[in-house]
Amino acid sequence: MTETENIADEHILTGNQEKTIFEADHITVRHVLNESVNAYEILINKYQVPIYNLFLRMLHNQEDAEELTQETFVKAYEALPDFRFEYRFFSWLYRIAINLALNNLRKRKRFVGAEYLINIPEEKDEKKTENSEHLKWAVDQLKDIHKAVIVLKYYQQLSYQEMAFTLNIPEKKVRSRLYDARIKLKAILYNSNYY
Amino acid sequence: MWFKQTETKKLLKAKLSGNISAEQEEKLQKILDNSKEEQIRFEQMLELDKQLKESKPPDETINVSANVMHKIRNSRTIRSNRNKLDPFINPMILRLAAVLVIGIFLGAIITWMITSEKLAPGTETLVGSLTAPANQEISYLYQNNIIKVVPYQIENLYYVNFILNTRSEIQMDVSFQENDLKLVKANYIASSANESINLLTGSISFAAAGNTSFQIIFKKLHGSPTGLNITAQQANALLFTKKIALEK
Repeated sequence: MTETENIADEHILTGNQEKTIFEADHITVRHVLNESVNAYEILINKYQVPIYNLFLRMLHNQEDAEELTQETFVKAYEALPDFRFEYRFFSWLYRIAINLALNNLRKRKRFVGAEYLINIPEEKDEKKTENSEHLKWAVDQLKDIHKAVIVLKYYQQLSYQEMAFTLNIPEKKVRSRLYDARIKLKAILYNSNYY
Repeated sequence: MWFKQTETKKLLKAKLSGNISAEQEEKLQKILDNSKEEQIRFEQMLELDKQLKESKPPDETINVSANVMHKIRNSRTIRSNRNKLDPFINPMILRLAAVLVIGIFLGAIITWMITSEKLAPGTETLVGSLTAPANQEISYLYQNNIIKVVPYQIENLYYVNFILNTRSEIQMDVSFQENDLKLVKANYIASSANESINLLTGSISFAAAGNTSFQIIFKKLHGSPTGLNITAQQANALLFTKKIALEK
């Protein structure tokens, strides 16, 4: 079982098991805050893969994904004294990461015409040969906020509650946004002869 | 029609998020049974949901821990060096300090502006005129002395009331041009110490100690501008000399 699968499994654990994982991160955070900086490496090793993959799925650029993964952990470390222990560490980390991803997408739009636009449309025809590739292409056509909910729900497999915390919106709004995202996605697929 | 669409959307949302009640499930089923169009739409949504679940790209691995730890250790070095200077370089503290200094500076200026006229003996300017409305007072405050001059006009009579509160005796002198003004009355209204009035040509002097009220009434003889000179002395030292203009 890969590390990511482990993390994904944590999301569906319940009761004592879940609490243990939850508390284990908090213990590590407390160690880090008590000047044991090396303990932070435990958290990096545990969460770097899902965070990196979140960036990859949002940005489709390995260099950016790697750089932003590092930035997420550095930012989280710097903000660690403000960490509130009623939150799960990984949800808090996701919140930092998704904000960085959305900021990066916003910046890209400001520099339309530069290198980033090359990634998506040029691959469209090639990718449409397979349904899953076509679907991925369609997800990239969505607005950033809709893309974020699709990525978090289907690719990162977060629960609604975790998505709500990560996106800093109520759970009800998450459900609504996800529904809208699916409708938009369906329309994009329909218009690109997916059906 | 709109209601039906909203209801269907609500039910679909509940179904797709796995948060549908038995009652809602039943309602949804009824809608689907009655509409081929809705049924296709619903099936497409379910299919999309399924495909999205299946289309999760495989996870790619990465190891950034060495780089991140290196960055953190560097930032820690910077931070630990900064710690000693933090109280001085923290922008929030700097901002607060700046606000405090500016506040003190402004406060000092405002205090000086308010009190300077009243505190510096012999250099202050009393503002007002005998045409001022009733109860508009001109105040003088210095150490333990309070002198208020309340000028007002009723028809062609000009009243100047003095209200004094002082620990040691103050000598007040009011001089005027007899060609311009005719003295109607000059007398104590109230006094907590010995009363002493000296009326000379174009001049009224009176002494005040403790709480004193003194009133002078003039009648103006023509329409040209004129004025009064008021001098206050205490223990042979000049407190102030002021001129009050009569506007009419």
